[in-house]
Amino acid sequence: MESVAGCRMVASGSGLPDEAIIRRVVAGEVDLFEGLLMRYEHHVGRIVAAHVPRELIDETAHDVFVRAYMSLPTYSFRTPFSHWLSTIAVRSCYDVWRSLSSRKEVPLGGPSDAVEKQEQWTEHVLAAESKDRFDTMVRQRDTANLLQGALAQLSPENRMVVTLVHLEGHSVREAAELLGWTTINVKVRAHRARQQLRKILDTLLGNHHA
Amino acid sequence: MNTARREEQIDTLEHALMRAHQVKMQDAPHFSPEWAQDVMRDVRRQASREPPSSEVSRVIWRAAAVVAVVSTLLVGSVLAWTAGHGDDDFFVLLTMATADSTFSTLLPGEP
Repeated sequence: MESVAGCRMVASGSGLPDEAIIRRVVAGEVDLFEGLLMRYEHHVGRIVAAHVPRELIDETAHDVFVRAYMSLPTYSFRTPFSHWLSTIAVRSCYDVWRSLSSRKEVPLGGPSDAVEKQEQWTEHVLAAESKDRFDTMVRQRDTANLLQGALAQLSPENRMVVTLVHLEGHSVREAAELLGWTTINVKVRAHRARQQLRKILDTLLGNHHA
Repeated sequence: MNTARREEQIDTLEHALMRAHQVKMQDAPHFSPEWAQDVMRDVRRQASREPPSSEVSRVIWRAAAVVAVVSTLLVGSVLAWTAGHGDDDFFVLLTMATADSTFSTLLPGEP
């Protein structure tokens, strides 16, 4: 089993540095792209999983690597390959949301997005007296569903910005680079989107206290 | 309800969602070997279908170079022609060409 994996690694150029693999892939050795695929599937998977619904992760990550292959000749080697790949991954996720939004197919979360469940969740989070209890709460599926439900109410643009800047802690400049937008655009959207998210949470509190 | 208290509660909920997202980010999905094979199949298909972008850009640069050479030849031949016919002829041609233009009516001192 190990030797098979070893052969696959050699065949896909896994021992070579990124730059060497990229130059050879661009020169026509397409099979070596598998080396980059193996090396970065977790990196891309993590980004994609954080942004798109579970059922679209495989398809989106697939699209990221095909796009990366197509754009490989434009990679300038000035930034690390992982960073360049991250921009493709983030933009692909944004495209997913744009596509879902245009088809009005934005998922609103799991079955727990019912008002009753949301109220229970709010009550438990606000009543959490210790950090451990709070951490346990946020690990529950209800929280993930509620997060999904809250983000689903935002436009694809605001959703991406709020996720990158507020939830993941990227700076405005980093988010702008990842999305390929101007910093001013991201800054304005970040403020607006956060206000919108807080309004959604306020509504949730309204339900809870009603 | 007190506004400050409500803002505090919204902060708590926002923090909970932030932590939930961070938890989600820690779980990298595991792709199956079939998924990797599918990606590579698609990559090979793309490679056989379309020329890589570097090839396309090479074609564009070649076309641009041809256009540049043709333009230089054209400008060169116009200059050579005007030199052969003298400056006066060229001035007459230029005057005739611009005689009806709106620019000439805006010249100061003209009625």
